[in-house]
Amino acid sequence: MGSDSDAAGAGERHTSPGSEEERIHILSPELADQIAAGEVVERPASAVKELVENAIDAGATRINVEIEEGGLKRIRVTDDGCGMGAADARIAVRRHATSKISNREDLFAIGTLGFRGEALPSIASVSRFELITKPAGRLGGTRVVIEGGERVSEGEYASAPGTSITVDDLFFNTPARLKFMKTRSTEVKHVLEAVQRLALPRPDVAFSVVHNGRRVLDLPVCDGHYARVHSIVGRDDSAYLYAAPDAEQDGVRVSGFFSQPALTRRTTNGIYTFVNGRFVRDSTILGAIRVAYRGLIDRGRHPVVILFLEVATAQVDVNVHPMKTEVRFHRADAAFRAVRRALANGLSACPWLPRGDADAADDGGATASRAGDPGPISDWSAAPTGRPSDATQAPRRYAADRFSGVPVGDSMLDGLPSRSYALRAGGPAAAGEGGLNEVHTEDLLPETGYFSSLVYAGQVHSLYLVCSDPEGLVVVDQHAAHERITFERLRTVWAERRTQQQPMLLPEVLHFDSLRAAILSDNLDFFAALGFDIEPFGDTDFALKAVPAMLSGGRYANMLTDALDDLADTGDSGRVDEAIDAILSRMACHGSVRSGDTLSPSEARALLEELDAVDFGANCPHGRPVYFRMSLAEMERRFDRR
Amino acid sequence: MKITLDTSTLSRELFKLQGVVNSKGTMPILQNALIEASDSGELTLHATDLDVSVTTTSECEVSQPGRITVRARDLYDVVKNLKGERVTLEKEDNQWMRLTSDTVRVRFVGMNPDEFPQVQRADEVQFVPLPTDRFMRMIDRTIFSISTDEGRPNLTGALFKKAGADRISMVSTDGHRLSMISAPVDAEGKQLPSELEDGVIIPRKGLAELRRTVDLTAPEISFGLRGNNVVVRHENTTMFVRVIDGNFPNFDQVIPESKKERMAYVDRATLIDRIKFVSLFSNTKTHNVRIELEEATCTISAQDPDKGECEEKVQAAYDSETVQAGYNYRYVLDVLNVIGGEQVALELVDTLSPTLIHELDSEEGERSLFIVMPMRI
Ligand SMILES: Nc1ncnc2c1ncn2[C@@H]1O[C@H](COP(=O)(O)OP(=O)(O)OP(=O)(O)O)[C@@H](O)[C@H]1O
Ligand SMILES: [Mg+2]
Repeated sequence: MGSDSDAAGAGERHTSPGSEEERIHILSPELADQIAAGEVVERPASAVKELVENAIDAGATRINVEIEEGGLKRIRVTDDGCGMGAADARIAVRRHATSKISNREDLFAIGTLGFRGEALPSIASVSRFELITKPAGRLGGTRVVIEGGERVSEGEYASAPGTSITVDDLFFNTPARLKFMKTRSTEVKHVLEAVQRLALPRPDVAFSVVHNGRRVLDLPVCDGHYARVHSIVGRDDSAYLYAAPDAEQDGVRVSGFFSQPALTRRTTNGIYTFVNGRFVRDSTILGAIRVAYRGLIDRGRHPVVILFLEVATAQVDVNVHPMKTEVRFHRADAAFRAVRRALANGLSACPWLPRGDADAADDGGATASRAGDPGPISDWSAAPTGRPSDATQAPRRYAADRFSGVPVGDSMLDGLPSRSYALRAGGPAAAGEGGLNEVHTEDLLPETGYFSSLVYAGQVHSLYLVCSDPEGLVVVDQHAAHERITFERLRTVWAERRTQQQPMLLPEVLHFDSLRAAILSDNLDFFAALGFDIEPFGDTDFALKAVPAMLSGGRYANMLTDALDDLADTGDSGRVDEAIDAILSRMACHGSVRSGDTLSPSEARALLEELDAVDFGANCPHGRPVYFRMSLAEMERRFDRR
Repeated sequence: MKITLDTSTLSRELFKLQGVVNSKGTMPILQNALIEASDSGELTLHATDLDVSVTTTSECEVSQPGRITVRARDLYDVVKNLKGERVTLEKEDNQWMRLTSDTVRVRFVGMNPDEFPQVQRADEVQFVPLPTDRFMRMIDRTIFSISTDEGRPNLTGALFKKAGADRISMVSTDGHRLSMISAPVDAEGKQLPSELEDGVIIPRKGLAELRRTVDLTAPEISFGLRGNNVVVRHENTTMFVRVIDGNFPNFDQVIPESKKERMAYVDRATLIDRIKFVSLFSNTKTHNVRIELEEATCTISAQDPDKGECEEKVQAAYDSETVQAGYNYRYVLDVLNVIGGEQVALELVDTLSPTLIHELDSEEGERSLFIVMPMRI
């Protein structure tokens, strides 16, 4: 080509019968007005999302994202998609310029990720923006440079087929916005998250993210959803994932993966839901997930779920929110039911349980898939528990009890009151009113060794230690107590930087997903200060070589995972010191004896003795009481003895 | 189903199931015992938590063969408190079970026995005998250092592995320390199961259950493998323990080479006693003590900025160079407490390398070795 050597202004027309085919046009003002308007670019990750969406819409098979300084210095997205001709390239950066819809009807049958014609102009107006693009099979490409919305130059440019967009100095002309940016690592985390969300439904496209020259995400083209899910969720977590049996309800089809109840997260960030390939946060879908898992996981915890919903484009409205992350189903009930059914069927088959027959379990039990790396799709499909077909016909006999409500209530012979007995309900808040004397340490505890001086009576329900002191009954929540002790230890190490280290005889290999790995790499010093000796090898693997001596015997990988999640929320800004307590308390949780652990009398006594070392003046890590006391006088009152 | 038998027999057999019945868990049926009575006058009791299954057989008077399943704990609680010498169990409609004994009449809510996980059969298992006390010693010497971190599932059990011709070994580690014992096994000419070449990982729960229920007065247990279960039989009880899938880490490379001349021989009871004494001055959170070996002396010391310091010297047969290292004293005591022998041999390589502790005067042909990673103090 090369015939449009200087065609400034050619892009002003909606369509132009130029020398090359033009696809992009400016939407009519009436149609433009019907599009959900609002802010499109709020942080580097949103620019990356828009650019990668465009690349996917352009049919790219390989999309590379390069960012510098969390994307604030530079974002470059390069694809090998269809590219744009010269005229298209010039008009693409104007508002309401799109090739994806042209009339009102189109708005109700959107099959592409983009449709507003907003992204490029919005990004170009708050950055130094450069677009280089060339359709395959053409000789010359086009370059358009825009600074803060002002066109600086445009012209011919030699380039590879496809499109490369560079966004430098994002928000350079909106200092107020720039001030809101979190730290570099927080922004990187958001960028990675954005790319992963786009990559999950598209195993047929290769994605990579490079930050400051270091590759932080690499997702080659893979065969089928599971392999992609596996590489994004991480090896450890994906061992707990199972394929959900496909479900269909009134035109909504659902497929995907769900975690066994043993794997939960503190936040919903393990829940990825897609409607026609678009990542969405939809309350209907989230509600259905919650209902499916109800009773199987603790309140306040969330499963890991990756669900792909397919709906006829006419049955779902995506023009709802300027960020394109919400949809409106014409039949929300159908979506709800389809999701719930897929998960409930999957969960009720309990694919993680070994089969009743030992030999059947040999090749497909939970332990088998958990320990092994599911690896490439071929290996995986050999594991019967994971396959949708299998999940639907898996033996129901264990699950039946749980779902059909077989009447096995508390036995008539149970000597002990059931777990909901009134004492437990008396938290610190309920103290005065219920008549329970919630004891405050200062009032009642003798100077030293109170807990060691208790007479230990026994453990009930593997949850509580029942003891007595000379004037009453004391019940200790074993998990809360141990958590409190571990927390205290961690705080001491941190405060005094007085670290005794317990090296490993056999270093533990830690695998993290790329998000957490990136955060860990950035925070190795923090963990070193706590006494963790962590050595990176490879991009997402680390060797744990030593731990703080105070934590020996804890669940190190869990501790670190939760600490990383907390760090991600905090960033490494000035709030770290504030957040340390939260992080330490989370880690303490994993260093602890758990509810449900059976303790021998000597273990129970050791726990009580350690409680004496705890400074109860400080707040509990999770604000839960560790113990309560009921005086003899109070008991007498309860038994109507006075 | 209708059977009658001695109350004491039923109580004794039910006791063996208690460790595996699941008290809370998501599958109510796992709280149950499956009771089966055959034409031939045999009563089989069975319970499982899917990882460990216990089956016991005993004789009874069968008026009507059949199967039934009721909550194991409730049944045990009732049976052990019965005064009558004989007890009768009888199936009623709707899965109820009636128990009668002397003046007592109890009716239990049961469940459909078809919902009970399939009972595993030990028919084709090739059993190899092992003296009971030897098996117990192997468990005792390894169970304490099994990891409790579910994040490292392959360490949450002990490796049970063939160790040369006619020897079997058990190894455990929690990442910081490692315990191993090997012992002769008389396979009576039979081959050890081939899976034991690479070894299988027996979960802690299974080992603990074995230790709890094995009848110590019986001279011998026998073990074998079936699918991914280790099967242990003693007297009338068979236990299936599902092994952990995964590879036990290759630990050979982290074990320092042992040299006779580096060993310090110390009186075991004295060492235990003195470590406990000195540990009063160790930090309550890190449990640090220091051990130093110099000619003829083993010095144990501890210090804590909040408490002060304490040191004691113990006699040792040692004439190599002076070495010292810090430890979590609990790791050291755990070892000293499970081994036998009047003396123990400590082998400190240097401050940072793993320390070896050798059990001396082991029982016939048994060899155990313990490795503790020093702490950086
Ligand atoms: N990487 C690319 N390869 C090929 N064409 C592209 C590329 N990026 C943008 N375009 C073209 O430029 C047009 C404008 O892009 P822009 O992102 O601004 O709007 P959109 O994708 O149509 O809608 P939305 O604002 O919702 O994302 C697109 O419709 C598309 O035709
Ligand atoms: Mg777009």
